[in-house]
Amino acid sequence: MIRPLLLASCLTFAVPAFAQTPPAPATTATPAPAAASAAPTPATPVGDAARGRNLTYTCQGCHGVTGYKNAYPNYHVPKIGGQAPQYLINALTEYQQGKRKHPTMQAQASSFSAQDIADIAAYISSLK
Amino acid sequence: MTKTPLAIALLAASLALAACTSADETPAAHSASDRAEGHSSSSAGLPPGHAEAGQKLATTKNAETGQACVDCHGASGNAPIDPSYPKLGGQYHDYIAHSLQLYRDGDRENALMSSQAKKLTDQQISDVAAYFSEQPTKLRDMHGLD
Repeated sequence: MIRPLLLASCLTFAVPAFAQTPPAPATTATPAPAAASAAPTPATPVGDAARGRNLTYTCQGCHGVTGYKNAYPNYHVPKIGGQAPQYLINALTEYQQGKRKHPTMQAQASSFSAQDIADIAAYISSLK
Repeated sequence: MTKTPLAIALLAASLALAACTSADETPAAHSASDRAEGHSSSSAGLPPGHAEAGQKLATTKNAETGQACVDCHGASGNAPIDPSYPKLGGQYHDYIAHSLQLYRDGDRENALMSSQAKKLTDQQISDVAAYFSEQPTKLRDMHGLD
């Protein structure tokens, strides 16, 4: 008896949660959110790897688990340690702008400033 | 008794996840061209890749662009000629394949890669992905960092 209700409530939680993901890209057009000050191409900040390291704690949840797989569609989460800073900056910026689509990555990137992204890129690119 | 609510919660969670996916943007799993060609689904549904065939493809100029993979990503995919291009050597084959599917199907945009991938078949994607994934790597995951 309880099951349908539980299911329904779970679904109602799940659907709005995801419905919120796509609007994030709109930040490029509206000046409202403070995080949007991370405009794509103003003077590129210089990355600080030490600071970036502190920002990458959440990255580990997926990129720090060897062999970890993304679901739907199913593929390994990429190895990103050692990629060049500019590649990583572009990837995070594109997720932030919604040009690259991945719910988790878009959500992660939406909270970062341009400085954060530069710092994260500096750190991850330095990994050997 | 105690197990039933847990089971229900788990079932609900998995259903919720499934719901999330269907509400999401078109994943590579169901790209338009895959459907049209009757392909199964996702990178997991690609045919097995052959690294030797992939090497040939990776080093042959694309008819459309006049560029081979290694012209930009470097030998073995390990020496990109521009810092905005990724290293591919030793990257997971299914991630490379997934990326190529996205480019091919217009779900990820890049001036160079979109045209580069446009006419690749599932088999070719699988082959190229197999080739680069088997090369020596300069990449690592973030496991075991202190």
